[in-house]
Formats: sequence, structure tokens, C-alpha cells
Amino acid sequence: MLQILKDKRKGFVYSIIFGAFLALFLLIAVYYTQTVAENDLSVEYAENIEKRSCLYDDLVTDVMDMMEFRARVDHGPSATYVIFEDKLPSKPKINMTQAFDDWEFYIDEVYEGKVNENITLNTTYYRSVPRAYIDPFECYYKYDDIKKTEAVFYGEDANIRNYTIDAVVEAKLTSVKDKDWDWSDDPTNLYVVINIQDFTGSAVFVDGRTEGYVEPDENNEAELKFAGNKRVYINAGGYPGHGESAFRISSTAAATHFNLTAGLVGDEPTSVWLPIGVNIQGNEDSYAVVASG
Amino acid sequence: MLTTDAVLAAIIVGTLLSAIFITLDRALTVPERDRPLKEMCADIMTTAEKHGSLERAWRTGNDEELRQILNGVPATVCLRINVYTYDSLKFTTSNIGCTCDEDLAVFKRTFVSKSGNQMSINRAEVRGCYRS
Repeated sequence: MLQILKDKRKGFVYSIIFGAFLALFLLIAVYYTQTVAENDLSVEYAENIEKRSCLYDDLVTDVMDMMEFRARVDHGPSATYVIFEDKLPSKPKINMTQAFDDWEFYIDEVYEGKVNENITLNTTYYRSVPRAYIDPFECYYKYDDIKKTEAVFYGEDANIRNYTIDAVVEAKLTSVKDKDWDWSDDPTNLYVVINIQDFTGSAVFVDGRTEGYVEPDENNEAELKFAGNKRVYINAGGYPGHGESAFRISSTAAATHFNLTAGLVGDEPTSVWLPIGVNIQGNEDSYAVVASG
Repeated sequence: MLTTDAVLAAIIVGTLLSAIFITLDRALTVPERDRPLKEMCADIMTTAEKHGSLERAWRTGNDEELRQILNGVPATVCLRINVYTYDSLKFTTSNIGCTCDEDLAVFKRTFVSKSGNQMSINRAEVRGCYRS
């Protein structure tokens, strides 16, 4: 009788232990299944975000390479500096319209399939009005055409304080015609620094100086002449059609590499973007941001 | 007092638990293990395009610059860069002394090249694995 009771108790204890182990295994399985699923989802989500960010960056870099420029944003005390590293003119014999067509075709027909993403581009507006928007300063950096022989920085003149142009022209300087350039004797709202050299290292002096204040509403223009009858024009102030405090550089023949720094009032988070629609995998359309900071 | 049955049961339970943990741990860590490699591939291609290394290598046919980039990666990683003209393989370069049986990471980028009067759109990809 006692032995039967002992066996029953042992069986009961074994059943409890077995049940406990079974419950433990089930709990571990459920916990791990959930953890693996959540981890896979988060990894997949992160990888998709990263992949699309990289694709976006790839496409924007292509545009900058086609147009041969770079932009960046720096900040100083109460000031924001937008810097365009650029080259004028674009290779004149390259058909830029065809180049954009080819690029869009390639992305649509080849690249989309390789990266397994649905990509939609829209360059129509940018091709007709090739300019960069500088937010939130309501300023613009515009080319005359996608062949780009001229670049103009302009916009809300209350936000523009100074320009610095660092340039090298691949030709020999012969003369500077600066009768339409007047440095102001008194401080104004626009300060200009001109650091332009020809390929021999000769510096360009405009009206005998390389920096100073100019009147923001007057169209100060200097014509730089180079060997081979090549000309580069610089304008500061009220360049026609672009309001006050604008800066323009133009070169139709002499290859000119330059950095144009625009000093803007206020230390604001800044975005420089092109009106080129970039849509990856049906997400909301976004424009091509070429610099931010 | 430990009986033979109890020891046997403990061994069986321990083995079962170990098997479960090892199996599930493997399933858990595979995607995470490959992430640094994928990020490295993305960084390398992005840098190579933005610094112009891809375009120069494509234009000149000299892969030395790309080879130097690849030889700078950790010794535990094997990478191979394929450069295409439009969609045709132009050349391949890899870091010294390793090949991949299976590519754990692949990253692609397009790049633009202006040469003479022509602008062309090309593509490059990097494929990588851990050195076995």
C-alpha cells in the first residue's frame, strides 16, 4: 500500500517536472521566434533604408558629376557659408540634353534591374531652369543653361552679405577692363573678395584692388581678357534680372575652375537642392539634395 | 542522492537545451554578422566614386588606385570590384590572396565619365565575403 502511494507521488512529481520542462522549451521557442523575427525585420528595415539612401546618393552624385560641380555648407558665428566648387564652361561639345537622356535611360533600363528597386527620375524642370535652391535663405545658384557658360548667385538680398571667388583661368591674362566696377569707400551690405589667377599665377586686380565693399544695387562689372581673345566676366551687386546683391561669373571659352563662397546672414540649418525628382520604390518624391549642414 | 537515471536525465536535458540555443543563436546572428561587411562595401564604392577613382580607373584602364583601396581593408575581408562599361564587364580587381565561394555582400554604383566629346554612364560593383 505504502509502495503504491510512493510510486503515485513519484509519478506525480515526474509529471510536474516533465510539464515544467515542456513549458520551458515552449517559452524559449516562442521567445526566440519573436526575437529572430523582430531582429530580421529591424535588420531588413535598416538595410532597406541604407540601400535607398545609398541609391539616392548615387543618383545625386551622378547629376553633380554630369554638371561638374560640388556644393557644401559651412557655418560661422551668426553666418552660413554656401560654397560651390564649379567649372565654366561645361565641355562645349558634349550634348548635355543627350547626356541627361542617356543617364535616365540607363537608370530606367539597366540600373533599376541590377539593384532591384523601382526608380523614377524627373529632370525636365531642371533642364529648363538649371538652378540650385538654398533653403531657408531664399537664394539660388543658377546656370544660364545646362551647357553652363554662366553662374549667378542671387536671391533675397537681405540674407546676402559677402562673396569670395577663388578661381584659376586656364589662359594667360592680358588685361582687365573695369570701368564699370566701383569699390565703395564706405561700408555697405555687400563685401566682395576676388582671388582670380591665370594659369601662370598672375593675380587679377579689379580697379586696383582684390577686395572691398560694393554697392548692392549697382551692377559692378569687370571684363577679364585672356590670350586667344577669351573673356571672363564678373559682376557683383545689382546684376540685371537677378535683384540686388547678386554675383555672376561668366566664361564662354576660357576654362575657369572656381570656388564661389556666399556668406549669408544667420547660422541656420541649410539645404542646397536641385529640382530633380528622385523617387525610389514608390516612396514620396524627393528632390536632389546636393549639400546640407 | 544522485541516481544514474537523474544524471542521464540531466545530460539529456542539457544536450537538448544546448542544441536549441546553438541552432537559434545561429539563425539570430547571420543577418547581423553580414551588416558590417555590407556597410564596408557601400563605403568603399561611395568613396571610390566621389574621389573619382572609379572614373579614372575606367577611363585609363589602370586599376592601381582601386587595388590600393582594396588592400587597405582588414585582412579578414575579401573584396572584388567589377567595373562595367554600360553593362559589359570591363575589368575586375580584388585584394590580394583571397577569393569568395559565396558573396555575402554586393553593392552597386553608377558613375559618369566625360571623355573627349562623350559622356558615358557606367557601373561598378563590389562583392565581398569573410576570408575563410
